[in-house]
Amino acid sequence: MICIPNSKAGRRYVYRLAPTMLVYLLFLYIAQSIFHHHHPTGLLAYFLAVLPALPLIGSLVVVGLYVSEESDEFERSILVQSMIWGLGGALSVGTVWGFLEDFTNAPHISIFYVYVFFWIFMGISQPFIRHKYR
Amino acid sequence: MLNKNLSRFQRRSLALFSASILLTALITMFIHDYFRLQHHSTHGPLAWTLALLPSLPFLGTIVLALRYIGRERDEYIRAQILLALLQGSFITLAFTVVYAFFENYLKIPSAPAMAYVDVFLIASMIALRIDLRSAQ
Repeated sequence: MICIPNSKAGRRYVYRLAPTMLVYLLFLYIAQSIFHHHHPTGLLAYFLAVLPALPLIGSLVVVGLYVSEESDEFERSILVQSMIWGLGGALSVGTVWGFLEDFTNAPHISIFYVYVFFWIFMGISQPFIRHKYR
Repeated sequence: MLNKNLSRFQRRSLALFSASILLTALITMFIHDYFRLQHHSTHGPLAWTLALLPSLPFLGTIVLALRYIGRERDEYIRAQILLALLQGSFITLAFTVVYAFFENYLKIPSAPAMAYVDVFLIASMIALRIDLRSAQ
């Protein structure tokens, strides 16, 4: 498979991330169907609401493990910088949209998209950071 | 609060960093009041421009942080700051993900516009304090 990285840490990252995403889909399905059919309340509702978030938090732990295990300092530095740019971009988009939503009646977009935009901006920033070192 | 052992570069970076955070807060308050006083009647490109304004000094803060990391000669301090920024980022993302599912399933009110930025800055600062203290 071409998408498997060359480094040991990179391979471990892919092998850890894939099951985490599968667990996310499974937990999301469970939470969605229970909320849809049984309308839970109280502690059970809180537990079910947080359930799909757990694998996503796990995916952040997987990235953290990759950063600590990657022996190539250059690759690690690129990743860390791109993560900081990813967060900066995601928080900026979230802030702009938050103001538009609060004051100009723009449609509501879930805060979940901060997480999605983090990965998008992180991916976009990587080639630019690499280009800087050429 | 300022450590006397800080180098000139560190002192200057800290001042710039604080100034950009202060500017973010001031612009946010200004924009918030502007929209409120206009009774939500601002639309179109002006609304977009005004909504974009508070994020500019925040992006400046990110640029300053990356510039500082790139130029800091003390490898130990650089590693601690990078670690704190990463921990702050992870805590912020975890917060947004959990809040999003609570918002979706439990119908709690939406988070204020700049809440994520506050979480990131506070989490990073606490993480840096803890990291530096535990490394002593």
